[in-house]
Amino acid sequence: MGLSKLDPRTKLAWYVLMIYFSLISGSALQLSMVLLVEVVTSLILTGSLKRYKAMLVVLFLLGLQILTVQLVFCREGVLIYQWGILKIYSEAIPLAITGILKASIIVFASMRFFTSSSAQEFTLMLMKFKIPYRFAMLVGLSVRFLPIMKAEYISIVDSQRTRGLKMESAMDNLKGIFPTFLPFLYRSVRRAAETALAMELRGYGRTKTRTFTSNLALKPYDIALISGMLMVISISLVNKVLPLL
Amino acid sequence: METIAKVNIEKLVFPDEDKPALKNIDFEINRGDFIVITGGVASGKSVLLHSITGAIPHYHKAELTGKVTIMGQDIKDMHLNRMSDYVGYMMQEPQNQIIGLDVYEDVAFGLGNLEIPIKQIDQRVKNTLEFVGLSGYENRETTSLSGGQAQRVVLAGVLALNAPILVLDQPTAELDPLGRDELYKRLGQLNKTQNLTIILVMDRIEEVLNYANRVFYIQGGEIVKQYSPEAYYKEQIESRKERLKSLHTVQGKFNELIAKVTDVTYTYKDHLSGCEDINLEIVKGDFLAIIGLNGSGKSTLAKLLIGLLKPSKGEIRVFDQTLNKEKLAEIRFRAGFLFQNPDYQIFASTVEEEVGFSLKLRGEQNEVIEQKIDECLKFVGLLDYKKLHPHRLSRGQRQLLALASILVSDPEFIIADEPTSGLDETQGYMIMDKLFHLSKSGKTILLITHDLTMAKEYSNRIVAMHNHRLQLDILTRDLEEYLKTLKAIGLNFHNIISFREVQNGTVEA
Amino acid sequence: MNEKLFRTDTKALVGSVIIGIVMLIMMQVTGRIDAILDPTLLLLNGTCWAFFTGLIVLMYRQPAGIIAGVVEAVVAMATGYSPLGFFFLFANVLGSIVYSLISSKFSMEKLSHHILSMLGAAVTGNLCVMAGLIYVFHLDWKIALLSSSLTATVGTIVAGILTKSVYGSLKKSALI
Repeated sequence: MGLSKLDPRTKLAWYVLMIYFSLISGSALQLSMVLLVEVVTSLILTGSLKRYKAMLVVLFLLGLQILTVQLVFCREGVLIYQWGILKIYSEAIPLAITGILKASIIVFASMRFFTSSSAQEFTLMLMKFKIPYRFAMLVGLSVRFLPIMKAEYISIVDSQRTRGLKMESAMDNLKGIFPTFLPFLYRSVRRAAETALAMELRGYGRTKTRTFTSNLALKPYDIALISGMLMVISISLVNKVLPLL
Repeated sequence: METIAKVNIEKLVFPDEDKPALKNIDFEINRGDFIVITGGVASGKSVLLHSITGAIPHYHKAELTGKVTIMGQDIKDMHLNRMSDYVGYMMQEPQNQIIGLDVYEDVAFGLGNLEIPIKQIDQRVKNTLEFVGLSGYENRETTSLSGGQAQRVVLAGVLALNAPILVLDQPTAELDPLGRDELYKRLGQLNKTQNLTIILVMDRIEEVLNYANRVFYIQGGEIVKQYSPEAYYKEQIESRKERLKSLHTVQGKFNELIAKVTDVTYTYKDHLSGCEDINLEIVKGDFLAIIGLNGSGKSTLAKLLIGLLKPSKGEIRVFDQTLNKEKLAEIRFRAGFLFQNPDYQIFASTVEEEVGFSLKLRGEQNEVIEQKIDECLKFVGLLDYKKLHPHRLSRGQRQLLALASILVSDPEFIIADEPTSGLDETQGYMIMDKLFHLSKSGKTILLITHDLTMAKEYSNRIVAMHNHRLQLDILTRDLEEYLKTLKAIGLNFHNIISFREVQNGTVEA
Repeated sequence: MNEKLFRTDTKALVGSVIIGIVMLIMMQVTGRIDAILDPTLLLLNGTCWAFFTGLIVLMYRQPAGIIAGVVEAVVAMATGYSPLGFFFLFANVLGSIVYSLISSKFSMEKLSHHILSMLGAAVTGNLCVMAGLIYVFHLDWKIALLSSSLTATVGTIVAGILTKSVYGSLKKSALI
């Protein structure tokens, strides 16, 4: 079964499950298992992990940061190395590893959930959760305007560069924030006002409901999957409060 | 004739403003009218449209003394989101009015809000897209639409609601001649066949007057004159003739090269072609117009010339220096680039601060800065507004401000990328006159435009681009010999009503 | 409905999404600068966050502040702009609510009003980040507290001043 056939609520339940396990799992082994399950199911359902490439770079940099901070500041375990004021304790590396694994699960699950459905499906899901359509439809709007506004920001930077603004080094970029950010802000406020006016004049919000061109309905397998996942979380929670073992 | 709306505005004042934006407005709109509103910079044209659509006072805060009624109902008593039963409104920038991620979703947006059953929505979307010439575009992503297509999608979304009045604010200001012609033809057809009432703020005189039946001239927030389209046209032609007398085309001084483009190709990251094998020489004093349809590669060439893009192949020399990272700052010091959207650069809290930005970056002394700011603001006619926040100016005034911000650095070479885009005709001519004046005083001007009239009237040389290649490089005085070649690439100079054609005072419909 | 706290008109809702995207893009820009100038403290990024959290509330009230915060975090995750968006989701939402509650008590005409409102938002937001640093990344609480306090202090002062200035300029422009 492809990922696209699942109801977004089923995907949400899976997302919650993954976040829950990432937070309650304490050991590197448990976390590795959760991450493995997450990656394998993603591979089975989507057939590719290409879209997560950008995420890997960020996670690598984050991992390096966590590792450095733990090596420098961790004071748990026994002292295994000392060089001047730098002291490395035995727990630094295991703590860094569990931190990186937790972050990886959360980031991977979040990215997968938010890219697994269309904007319209998310809108319909929010409406199933009784969110008024005037709010729920904002999902589509954000997806629509992101690429346009990104291109616009680049044009603004170009425009200021032609006026003599340098944007080459990090310091240049710091100095250039205001001349580039402010036109972007003004333009965006103008855009927001025009878009909202165009929407209202096309009847946005005139009644409490509206006609959508598609609909969401839970299929039997969605119900089975959601029930299963909720049961797993419930058992785990009960086990936390009243340990069975 | 049935009166469909009555507009009686004694006074309309915005908060924190002393002067009324509109005053003494009193007219009736009849069913089937095609009214064109025109006037100078910041005259109140768009404010008048907002008052008819109900955006004022419901959306933009303003104190309105008077009454605007549509089909007998006072718009003050109507909710803005119920106005779609009476008025369809299309503003200038299509991308700001497209809500859906694909074309179908966008056209269906308003219909969904009216709670129309899905089957009827399907039918209406299909019919409307067919009418605007976009059948088969249903699943097309709205971000991938060209300017003209986006404009037609917005029109389809508005028309699908079947409102009896259509209000449009410079609907073709960002379109090339083909797109403009198509849109006006469709509006004319709707007006004639379906008796749709149309009120629009005019952008280009040539096409729209062929379909209109009334023209309102607005000045200082007041309708100072009402014309028949023919009478207005005659008056405009007379004033244009006067202006033309003062335009003696400049000639480049062919011994001094300002820029040389040799075998330049530029390919975008997604392998889309920007420019291919471009060879071009620009000499001092040239007023060179680069023309072409939207997407022909004009803007890419302009960006290459100012170093915003680096050629994938070939060489560009500006001021006898190779355009590279080392020389870029020096070259930009002597060149100015006017973007089509002035809002891309406005960031200061006052007009004078905005103009002085480049000089501050160059480390000029305060006294010099102040003097130059005043000179430039006077040149563009904005000296009285120097303490005002730039965003309080109208779109046309903001374009003049952008021009002043460039002129303050006293550039030898000015590249203007669609400087009249988004402006109405009067505002457009004002900008062009300023550029022409600069050209006469020895500056070299490179004008990127899809406005054939402007190119013909102001330039001494025309370069035509088609499919990312330079197709033609001619002197404007030889234009007549190349009309067929230009028509073949979608640049139909026959289509524009030139001064010569209307010298007998008649308008060809 | 308390008008100093809430606004649910279409302009505010659409504005929240669009300014949320501006926030997202500017967070990315400042993040890149931080990566070179101060890779561990991320002071510029923290200030940018605090500034937008306050500005959006001043411009469009609530729920716009919350929506913008959610848009920023979710779109950042979905598009790969900043896959770490999840960790800022709670900071964005809670920071915005606290800013609203404090700013609604003031006229917001004095700098002190902006600084106080920003203090509430920055402390709340940085507490959320601190919790994440301790619980997810297993950082020592003293280090997490030090890092969050520093970011909150800089954010409060710089973003407080900037919010007053930019909001004033926006009002002067008549765009809001």
